[in-house]
Amino acid sequence: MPAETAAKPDTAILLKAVAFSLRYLLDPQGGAGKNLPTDAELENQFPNSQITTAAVKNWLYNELGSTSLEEIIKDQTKIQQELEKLERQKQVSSEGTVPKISPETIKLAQAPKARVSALGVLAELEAIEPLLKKHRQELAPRLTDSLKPQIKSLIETLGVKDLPAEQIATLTEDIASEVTRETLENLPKIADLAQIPDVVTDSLIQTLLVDPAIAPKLAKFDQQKLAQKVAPIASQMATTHQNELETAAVLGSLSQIAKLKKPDPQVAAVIESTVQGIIESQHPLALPEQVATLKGNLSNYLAIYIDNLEKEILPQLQKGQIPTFQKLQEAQQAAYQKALPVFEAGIIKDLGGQKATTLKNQVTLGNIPGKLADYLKLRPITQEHIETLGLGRAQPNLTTFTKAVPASSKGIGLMLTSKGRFQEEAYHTLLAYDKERLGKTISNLESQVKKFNTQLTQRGSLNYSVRKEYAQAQRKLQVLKKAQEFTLKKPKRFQTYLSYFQSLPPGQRLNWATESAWETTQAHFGEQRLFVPRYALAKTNQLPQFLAGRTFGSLAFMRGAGNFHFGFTKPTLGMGIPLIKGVSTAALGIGIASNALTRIIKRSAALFGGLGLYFLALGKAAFTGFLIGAGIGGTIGAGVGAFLGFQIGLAFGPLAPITVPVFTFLGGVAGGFLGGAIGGAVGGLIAFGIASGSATMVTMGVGAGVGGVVGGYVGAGIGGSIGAGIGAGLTAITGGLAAPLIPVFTALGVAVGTAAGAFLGALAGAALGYLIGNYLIPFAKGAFDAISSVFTGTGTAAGSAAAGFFGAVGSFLTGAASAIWGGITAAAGGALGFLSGAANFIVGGLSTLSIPASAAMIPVAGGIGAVAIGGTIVGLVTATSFFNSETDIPSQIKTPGENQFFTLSKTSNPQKLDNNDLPHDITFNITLTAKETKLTNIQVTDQLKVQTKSNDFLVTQDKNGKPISPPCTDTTPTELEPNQSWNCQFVIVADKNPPERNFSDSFVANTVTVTTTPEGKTEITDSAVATVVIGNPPTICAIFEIQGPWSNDEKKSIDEVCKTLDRSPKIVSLLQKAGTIFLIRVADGSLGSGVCGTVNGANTISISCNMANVVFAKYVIIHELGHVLGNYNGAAYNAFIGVYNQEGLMPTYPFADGGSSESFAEMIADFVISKSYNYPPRSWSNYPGGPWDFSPPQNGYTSFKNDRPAHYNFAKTEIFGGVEY
Amino acid sequence: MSKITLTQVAQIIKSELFLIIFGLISISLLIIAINTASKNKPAQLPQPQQTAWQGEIYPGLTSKEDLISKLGPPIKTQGKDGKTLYFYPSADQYRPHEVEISQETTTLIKEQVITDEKGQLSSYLEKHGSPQAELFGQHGTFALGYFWGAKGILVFANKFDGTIVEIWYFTPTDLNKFLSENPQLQMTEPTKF
Repeated sequence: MPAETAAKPDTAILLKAVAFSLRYLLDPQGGAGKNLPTDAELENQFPNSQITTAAVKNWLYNELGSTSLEEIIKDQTKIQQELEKLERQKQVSSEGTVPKISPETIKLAQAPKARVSALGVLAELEAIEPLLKKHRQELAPRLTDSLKPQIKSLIETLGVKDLPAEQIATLTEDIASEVTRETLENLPKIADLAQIPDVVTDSLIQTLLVDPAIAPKLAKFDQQKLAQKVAPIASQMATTHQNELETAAVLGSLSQIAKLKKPDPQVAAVIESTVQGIIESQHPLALPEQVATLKGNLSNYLAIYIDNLEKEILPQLQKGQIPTFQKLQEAQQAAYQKALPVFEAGIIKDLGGQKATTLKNQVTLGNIPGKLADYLKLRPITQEHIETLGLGRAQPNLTTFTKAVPASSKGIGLMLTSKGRFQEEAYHTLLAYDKERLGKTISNLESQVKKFNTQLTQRGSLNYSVRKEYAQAQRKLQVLKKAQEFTLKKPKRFQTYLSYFQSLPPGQRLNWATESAWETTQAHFGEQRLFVPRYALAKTNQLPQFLAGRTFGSLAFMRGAGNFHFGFTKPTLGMGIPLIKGVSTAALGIGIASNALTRIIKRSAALFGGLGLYFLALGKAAFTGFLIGAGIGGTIGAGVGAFLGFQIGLAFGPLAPITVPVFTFLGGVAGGFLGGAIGGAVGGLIAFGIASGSATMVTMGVGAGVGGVVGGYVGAGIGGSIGAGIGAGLTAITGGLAAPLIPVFTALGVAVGTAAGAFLGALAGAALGYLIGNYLIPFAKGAFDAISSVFTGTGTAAGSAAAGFFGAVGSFLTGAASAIWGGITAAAGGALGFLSGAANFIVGGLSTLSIPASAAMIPVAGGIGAVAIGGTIVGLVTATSFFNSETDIPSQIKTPGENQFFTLSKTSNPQKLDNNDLPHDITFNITLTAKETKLTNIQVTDQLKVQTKSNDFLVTQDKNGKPISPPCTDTTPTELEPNQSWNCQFVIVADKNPPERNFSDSFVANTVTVTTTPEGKTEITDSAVATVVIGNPPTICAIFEIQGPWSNDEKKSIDEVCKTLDRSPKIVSLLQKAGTIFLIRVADGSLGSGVCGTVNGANTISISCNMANVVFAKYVIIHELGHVLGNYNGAAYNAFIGVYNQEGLMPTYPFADGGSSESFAEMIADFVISKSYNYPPRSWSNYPGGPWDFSPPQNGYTSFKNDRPAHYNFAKTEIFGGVEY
Repeated sequence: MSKITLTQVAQIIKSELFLIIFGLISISLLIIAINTASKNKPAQLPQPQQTAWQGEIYPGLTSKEDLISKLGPPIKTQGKDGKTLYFYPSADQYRPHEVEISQETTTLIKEQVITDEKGQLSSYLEKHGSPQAELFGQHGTFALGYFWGAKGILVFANKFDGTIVEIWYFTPTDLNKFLSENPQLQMTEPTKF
């Protein structure tokens, strides 16, 4: 048979042949359970089909997992099932459609066995393997020989000279062999021939780094530097063996594709996850039938693709020609395209018209095979795929992650745009969100590392390949473990990031982002069938941050146009080699232009933020002026910048539809910040000058304004000329290659020149203004007093004028122009957020300012305060919360029931009862008052819990038998207008009906909870508590909520603390005002050196020392409880201040500057333990009162009672109610 | 004499010399305008919203003589950082009111609230609205400082039960300036153990 007609058996005939063979096997007259039909019998049954017994056996093995006929015949039921299945498949096949292949039946598409046609050329793609093997065997020695002299020279260059010549020769041989082996192994993964030198470079570097003799000598080199040294060797090798290496890459790729025909659970899993991923992001409510159809047809698509590729490639192979890399890519693209319609047609056929249309409306069907093709490398790599895996250069824009999220999440979104800690933490969050996957991966990696360790111990050494795997596993393990540790060490931040991702628009939420983070991680560790040079990764300790940056670049890219720009960094995939042909020049231009504008944005944003803080520090007048100036300058600057950005975008010609919006945006932002900074400086200087009576400041401000305008104008001309010159120069150097970039460089030159000119002009103008104001018109000094009060608001005569001025400004701002101001303030917040993320620029400022959310507005000037400052401060507050070192203590203290939108209060009357008073009515009163926003969808619930010594119970009805949750159902509003209140009162009877309802010696806590949606805002929930103490309530431990890893001994100590305090009903009653007291055990030493406990300003105590020792536990815990007591009993503390003023700080408090509040807490602890606790000696150093000792005092020792009688008596009467210890 | 064309006018307007002259003229006009506007410096009167101590003492305005004429001589005086502190008795002998005097004028008054003579925090919140800031001072979290800069008042009170422990009166000012003049106050909770 001529080679041209050699073809693989028809699938339908194969299925028939298998069915025939199975029946033959079962037939007592045929195979009798022992034999399959012979080749001749098959040929006789299926003439010219080329089906052989071996082919049938191969099918049986694939389908039934065995070729042993004895085994197969044992399970007759399974045989019958297979026959039925074959029957169904034959029908499908005979209908002229491609056989339906589910993940299970994908094996059906396999050819029975690799075959070589009669002329000895390929008839099946699988037969490529021997060719590849042969090629590798022939090529390997040549590559090794070619490498050896250069490697020897390299080893010497790297400083490895002290080894014996024989050892160097052996090393050279070993390294060259290993580089050859690994290069040939990695070549099939390349996306472009330009990656071949990278493959060699990477292998050589990694081999050197794991060689025990050489690695120590390389400590001074980082991988990038090594790459520079090794690159010439790789480049020479790639050039010398160009065709052979290309052939190896092509054959390797084909071999990999051929393997897809064989049963592979991984491929089935890829198909499964591809469909699931798209379904989850595009159509989460898809019916199981639709999902199954997609999976089935995707499997089918793969089979058809392979079939198509064979048709494209085999004719050339059969002629004895190995296709070039380019031809292979063309063939792959053709095979991919041809299979697409079949995929869609199959879905329509399977689901029927209506259901298929529904599915098509929800899911972009073309994306599904595309994703599979990208993953399995079935088609030439696309830039989209590179960027999606984070292997490219996409970077998020400033507002990418602030879009479509609630206002409360915008701060986080903003911080995720800049590389650093926030991105890293968010990246860890995404990895750790898939807890099961993270745990499993870590476990596998640990097993691997352990296995390598064992091998190393047993064998004493490992070969290069294993060592590299070992090193890579360790690196990955380190990254993943850091993610795991993050969730444990910083659970609150973990939750914060989770909440952020959950607040993203549907389809871009946690699952989507998590999957992306994992894909990016896998891609960088070479697990995505793509070659990614290991030396292109960051150092191990910087790897999480690096991967985080790439993950957020990928997420930005996937959010679509307008959400990303191309950074100037090189793509990880290949050290800057243009992988996508045809766009390299444009990409270069885009990279340069976006880089230049990004730099302008960063610097001008930093300038803007810095100036803002500076003028803020100068006072409200200066800051007011700054804001007004920034508003005007920013608006003008944004307009000019956007125009210039538009021009740059336009200069890219055919790419303009993409580049114009991107560069217009970047230009607008850059111009906005720069204009805002210059305008702000002008306004700030003028206002400050007027307010302080400094003519010099005013003239500096005016000078800066005039200079900025003139400078920008002049700079534009100069910059444009320089840009055009650069473009022309590059064109000449590159022989015309850079000609398309001339307009880009010209427009960019104008933009950069304008920016630089405006900046320098403003500086020069300010300097000129200084000279004028300071020397030329000194008479003007002091001439501004009359109107200074307008800005400072201090002058009486100007009072009304000031009010008028600010009223007008406020009206202006809050009126039609509020949108502009909103933008400005958002930009200001953005700038500050950026600064904080980029360089911890405002750490100090934030720490100092740290404006609480409840006071998030500084009313600088009427309406300006409301509109202009809000955004900035919100940004500051958000950022500040991230700069506080986390100790699991809430940094913000919040009054229960008090929030931005409403005030909720709950009171009880009476608050204390004796047992003898029972039964007694207790009246609870609830008041809900809306603030400035209308409340909608109000829901009120109430819980009344009674804790007694014997049991706890809930009260669910009031005195009249009405339910108390929701309370006052007949008046509960669903909406409240701004400033409107709702009041509810109910009465319960505290009676004495043991055992069910006995209020004797109890603690009653009534909690009201309100959930509402303020108009235009997100839902908010808040609670308020009222308590009643009856008789002697149960142990104080009843209100402790113990959290964290307390040991049993420590828990016993806590019990002892409770027992001690329980002796005093008064202190118990005072502490009960805190409602619940949280006792959290945090990691030892985590609160700081020498610190064992802290309180968060309300009712949460953190303990970081071992509390197993009872006396020490009493000292520490009761001290902290003293803080809680003070936090909730202002009157008790107020009565104490005089005592503190009288006797000073308690001598036992071990830190300086404790103040009255610390003395208060220390007094309470000392009152309990002063006779049993051995205070550290430092407490008594130079202490005139003498150390305290057990009562009675003796030999120069004294006691708390003698030493600080006022404190002692206060504690005794006011805190402990007369009880002494 | 040859006529000047519109093109020449446009060139002149676009020239740097013109822009510089224009800038200088702008500066001159602004200075003249400001100079003309400022003729009489206003007298120092209390700002309408400033809060007085004991109804008649305004920090920044009430002189030392006025203070003594209204309250009598202090029970104690003390020098501090170039200023003089005058102490006046309160209901608690260990908690006298403190008046800071600088350049013969009262600048800051620290009134001690011994019982409930000043009511509850809620009455101040109701009267002045949300404070501009909550500050941490000597009383830590036991009594936060509720700051109303425009009203010239800082109220230290317990946020849970509303007990007022101390009130400061000062010349209306902004938060940053106030914090810079009173470094013992902080915006964040100082670490306490």
